[in-house]
Amino acid sequence: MPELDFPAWIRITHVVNIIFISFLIRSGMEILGTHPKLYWNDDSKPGSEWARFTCKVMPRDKLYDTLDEEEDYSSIVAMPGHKQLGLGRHWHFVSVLGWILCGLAYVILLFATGEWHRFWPYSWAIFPQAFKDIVTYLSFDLPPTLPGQPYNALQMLTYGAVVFILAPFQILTGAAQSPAIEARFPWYVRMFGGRQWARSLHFLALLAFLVFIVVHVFMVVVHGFGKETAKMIFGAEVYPMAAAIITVSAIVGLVVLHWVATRYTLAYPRSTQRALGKVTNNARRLLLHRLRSRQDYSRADLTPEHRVNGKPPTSDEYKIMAAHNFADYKLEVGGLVERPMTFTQEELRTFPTRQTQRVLHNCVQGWTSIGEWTGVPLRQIVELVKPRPEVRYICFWTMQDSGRDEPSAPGGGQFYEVVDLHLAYHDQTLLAYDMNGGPLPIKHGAPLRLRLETQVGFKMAKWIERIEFLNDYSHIGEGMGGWREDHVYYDKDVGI
Amino acid sequence: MIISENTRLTERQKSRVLASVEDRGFTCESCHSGDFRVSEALHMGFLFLDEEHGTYMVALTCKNPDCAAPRTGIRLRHSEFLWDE
Repeated sequence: MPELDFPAWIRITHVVNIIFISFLIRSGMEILGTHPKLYWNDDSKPGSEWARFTCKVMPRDKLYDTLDEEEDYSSIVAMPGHKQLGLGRHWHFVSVLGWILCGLAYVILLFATGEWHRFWPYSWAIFPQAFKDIVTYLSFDLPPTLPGQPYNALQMLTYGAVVFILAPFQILTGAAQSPAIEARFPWYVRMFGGRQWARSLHFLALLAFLVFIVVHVFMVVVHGFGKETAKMIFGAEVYPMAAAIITVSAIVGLVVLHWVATRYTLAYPRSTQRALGKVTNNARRLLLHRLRSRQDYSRADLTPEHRVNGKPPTSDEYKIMAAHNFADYKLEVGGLVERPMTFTQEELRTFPTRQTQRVLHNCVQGWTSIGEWTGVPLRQIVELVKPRPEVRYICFWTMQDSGRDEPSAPGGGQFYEVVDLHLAYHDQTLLAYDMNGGPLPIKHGAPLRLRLETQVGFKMAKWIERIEFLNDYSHIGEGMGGWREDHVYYDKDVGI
Repeated sequence: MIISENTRLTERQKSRVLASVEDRGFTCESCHSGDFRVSEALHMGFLFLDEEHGTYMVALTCKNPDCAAPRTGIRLRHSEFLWDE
């Protein structure tokens, strides 16, 4: 066994890890705050949460949506704070990329250099020894390190568990919350007990990390702050005073880094969205964009009361049309196509292909519900109107005016979302007019909504009135690819 | 057949709607006719944030065969047409 110490790469990855994990925790709190409730069921049934981090009470006599349930957390705990889910997601995904890369480098070097021996319990005796170490700590004494090891038995088992169990578990439960992964590999999500189990376990693992960090720092102080931090700065127990000063300075530097990043994010949200998006978009498109939904939940799985996001259009035109069962509804399909077309509700309902799918709906806020949707496969509409060769995107224009209809969302204007053309060819991409065996309810997007099962819910435009084929979307709205991308800084491609 | 979220009205309820149409002098926006056929009513109080509880949009169809946009609606309170004797 090589002599185990604290080589430079361990010290460097330790510092980098601290930076990324601190950003992950704060941005994770931002994501939690947008739907501050945790469930053990994929219905996300109101009132069934096992943990809630909000005092809001929702009305019973008026339709509310999950945007109304969103909490405004302080920037002290959330990155960036103040109901900025889109920006929080950007920070979370950039941080997780950095954290995983740092972790990979650490594990590879751990095995390449033989340093992995520090985590390997060679004898069953390590376990009772670790218990004795706990008793020793509780007796206000310090347990001895293991022979030839830099750690005592308790440290060996704890650090090993954090590196090889807790961190991978956090990555796996995070991945289980990606709609693209869930849609393509439904068994993977079931492995955790369901999507909300994965979300709850992800949160519990965060708590485990927080407990570890607090105890870890406390133990560094107990063992001797200067002596212990010197190992992570100089690689040996030398210059304890200098190590203590450098460590305290580094902690202050980390706080300043967070403060600057938070202030910049809140002051310049668009440039933050663009800059962080550049880092994560390529990774997401590479890993998730080609995944196709293969979901087929049973009828028994259907959520009795599917949750709602977005509020119906309040124009009199819409209300009158709804009172007439949408008899006057017409879907316009145009833009860069050879054959612009208009479809009545009757024509859509009597299309040659009528497709039904039972799928898990993933809201960007974190809640889920399982629904059955029936409608026309979007690829059939695409084949009829024949997009020109230069077409790359499809824009779904809706009857909703967000400023008028959605007070819980900042900004106004007609709600729209842009998706990549190739997603239209996926088997479960649907223009749905029925839900759970009946007509699509008004609150879920009647008379017509999009189902795009590998993306999060906000991309699935409701109350659709027009579909436009495009080769560029930079001229629409703020040019970010959708109303939520324009106004609340979400990503355009949301496979996670 | 489409089963909607709307409330089907009895003949008596439809008569009350037509009486309200007449009382208010409600006319078709397209052809200005005041002659309508009443169909269903949509309860808006719960679904739409700008509507009070107990408010309905009652579907009216203009009887003028030459009307370009015969489908319209009138906003009524529950107490104006939906009560039963």
